[in-house]
Amino acid sequence: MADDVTLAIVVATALSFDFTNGFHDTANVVATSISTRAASPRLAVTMAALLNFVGAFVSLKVAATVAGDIVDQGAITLLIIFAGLIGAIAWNLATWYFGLPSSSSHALIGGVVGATLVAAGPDAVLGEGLLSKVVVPAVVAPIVAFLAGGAAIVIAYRLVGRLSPGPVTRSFRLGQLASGGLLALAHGTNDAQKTMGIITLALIANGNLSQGHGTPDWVVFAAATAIALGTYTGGWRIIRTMGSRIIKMDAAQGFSAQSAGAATILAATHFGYPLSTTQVISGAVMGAGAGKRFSAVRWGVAGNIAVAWVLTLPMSAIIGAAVYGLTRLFGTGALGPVVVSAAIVATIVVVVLRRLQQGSPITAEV
Amino acid sequence: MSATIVETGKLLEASAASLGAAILASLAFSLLIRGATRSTERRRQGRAAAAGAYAGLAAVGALCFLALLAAGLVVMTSK
Repeated sequence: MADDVTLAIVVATALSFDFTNGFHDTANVVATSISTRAASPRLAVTMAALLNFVGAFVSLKVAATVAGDIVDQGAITLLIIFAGLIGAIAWNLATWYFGLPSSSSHALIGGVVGATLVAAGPDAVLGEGLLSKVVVPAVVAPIVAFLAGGAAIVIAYRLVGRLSPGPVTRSFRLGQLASGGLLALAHGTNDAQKTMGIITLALIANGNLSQGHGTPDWVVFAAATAIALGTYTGGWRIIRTMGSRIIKMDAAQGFSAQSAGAATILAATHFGYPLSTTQVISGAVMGAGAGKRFSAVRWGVAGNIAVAWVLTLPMSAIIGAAVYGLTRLFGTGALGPVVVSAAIVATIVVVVLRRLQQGSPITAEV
Repeated sequence: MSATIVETGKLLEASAASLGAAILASLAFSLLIRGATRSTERRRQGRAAAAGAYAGLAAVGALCFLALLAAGLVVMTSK
């Protein structure tokens, strides 16, 4: 029970990250369903929020693996976790502002790696783990999803292309409810557990839990609630990019993209590769577009998304490192996190107030 | 060394499984749609045998798609 104030701030920050994760990644699950009118925006995000909540309870076996393979767990302190989370939240908010679907998981890993580098030096960062668990899957996953989405739509068009379009569209919309539901469950299972893992790690680092202790029930419930609330709030900017700016999607493409995305995530899960849901779905959407006609994909938008993917790890690492450095100026106690948190909350309040004064925020009217 | 770190074989297996599952899902659901639509058309034309055959095709597609959904849930809960 070394520092309960810092621990409380870290837990609150972790749940805030979980909220931004749901908020940022809603698009992965609902954008295709909304743009093909398989579901109304509100129904789609409500369903995604509920399934994300349920998904968080489905499995707890990977809850403590977020930083375990990437950094030396012995070097982890509450301040490193705090700085890493701030790095991830900042990058999530920046990419949300520009409507770019980027990986929340990579942002979290980047933030923790950056803070660890400054706090404990390069030896505390496990290069092999970073390469095999993050970098290689980050390169391979979108390509596989692209090919899977392309293959799926080619098959779909070949089999149903000459049928009456009305019933075909209605059927694919119905199918999207199933494929979208599976995606939402997979997202809840994967992403809520990352926050559970981070909070558990913080509890261990603070001496509240012993090494190897399971995830406490309150952590599971809190993380599930935070990601579900974030999902329900909906990051409409990214939904718009994913749903209509990469390709103009029909129901068959929406179904193909979601099925290819779910297949890629679940096959990789089966083989033990943690993937970014965002990268997979974006790749599958591009594949479903290119499978119809290569020029159907707006490659300029796709290029911006790819740039965001490449920048996610280094940028969140830089922010994480900077926040750690700033926090350490106030010593190793709770003062640093208190000052940084207060500054962030004040900034958010000012931005929201200015936005409310300037006009209405972006809403579900996509 | 890099082959050990990256585990190329396992990565290729995962990629092949992803592609296979996506293709199967699309194939199964497209067969379901094709079977159901053609079955309705044939029934309207009074061709009962053809309608029955297409209905069978739709049933096979539906079963395959449901099996894939179930497999996805199993993978999720067992990891």
